[in-house]
Amino acid sequence: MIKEITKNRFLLLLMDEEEYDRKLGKIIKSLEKTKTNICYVCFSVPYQHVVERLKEKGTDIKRFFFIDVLSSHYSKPKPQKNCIFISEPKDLDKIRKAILKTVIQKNCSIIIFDTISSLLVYQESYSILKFTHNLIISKEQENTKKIFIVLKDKTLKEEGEMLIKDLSLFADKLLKIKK
Amino acid sequence: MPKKKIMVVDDEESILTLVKALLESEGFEVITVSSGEECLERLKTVKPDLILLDMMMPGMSGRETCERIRANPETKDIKVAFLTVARFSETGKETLKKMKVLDYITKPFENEDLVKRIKKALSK
Repeated sequence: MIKEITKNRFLLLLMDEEEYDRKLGKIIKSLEKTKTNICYVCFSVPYQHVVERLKEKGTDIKRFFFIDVLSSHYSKPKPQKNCIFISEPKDLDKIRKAILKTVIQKNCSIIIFDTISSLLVYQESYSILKFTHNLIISKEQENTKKIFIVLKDKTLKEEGEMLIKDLSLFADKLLKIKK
Repeated sequence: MPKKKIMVVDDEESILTLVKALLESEGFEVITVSSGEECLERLKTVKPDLILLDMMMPGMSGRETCERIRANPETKDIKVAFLTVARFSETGKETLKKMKVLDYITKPFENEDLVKRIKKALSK
């Protein structure tokens, strides 16, 4: 995994829904070895859960800075030093600005999008594609490695498949995480 | 000699107007449509020599439109090139080659370069 991160600027990680919990923790844990700051964008699981999951795997989260687009959409989360809460998951421009701010201020070298396909609940594929493409070509984040996680989610089958195929055209590599 | 027919597919009206004016001044016949769905519908009645496809459009993407063009025996041999702001990765370019995409022209484009590349695509 570390090899792939070093080699590629934009990685698309495709995994089965059933494997998501088990595999993701391991992948994130392996990123510790990069000894760089990481911006973690929570699209599908709220900040609190992600932190618990990482700690369970023994991951030291002091290098992680989070952007949570879920928690404050449903409740009023307690402010956290290492997290920006965005109340509107539909507001892709606000999310983009929060990512940029975090990457610059915290000097992050890696951004993890967990999981980009979850945005299909709020957005049509076209908007997600534009959002992703703008992040990839952004001059400000030129040297930042981006890992986009996509799930083979049965509920979003056709739209999800289309999104994966379209994103693959921008990705340096599509990694299928097997069982 | 009959004029070469080019279908331009883009959701941005200003691009359609600009490309249509430019290509008509170069002696091409231009058909403009604003979505992938409309492109497939029009292909039932017209057969262009080249389709210029945008990648990121609401509804059907350029990639999906191209895949459907290739899947239909009636349209599978039509020449296709992309005209888009999208920057494809090397892996993406390989995928497009497999889909027999002849070129990927990026916006913004130089008028002269666009015409040159269209002529080149048509000659392939």
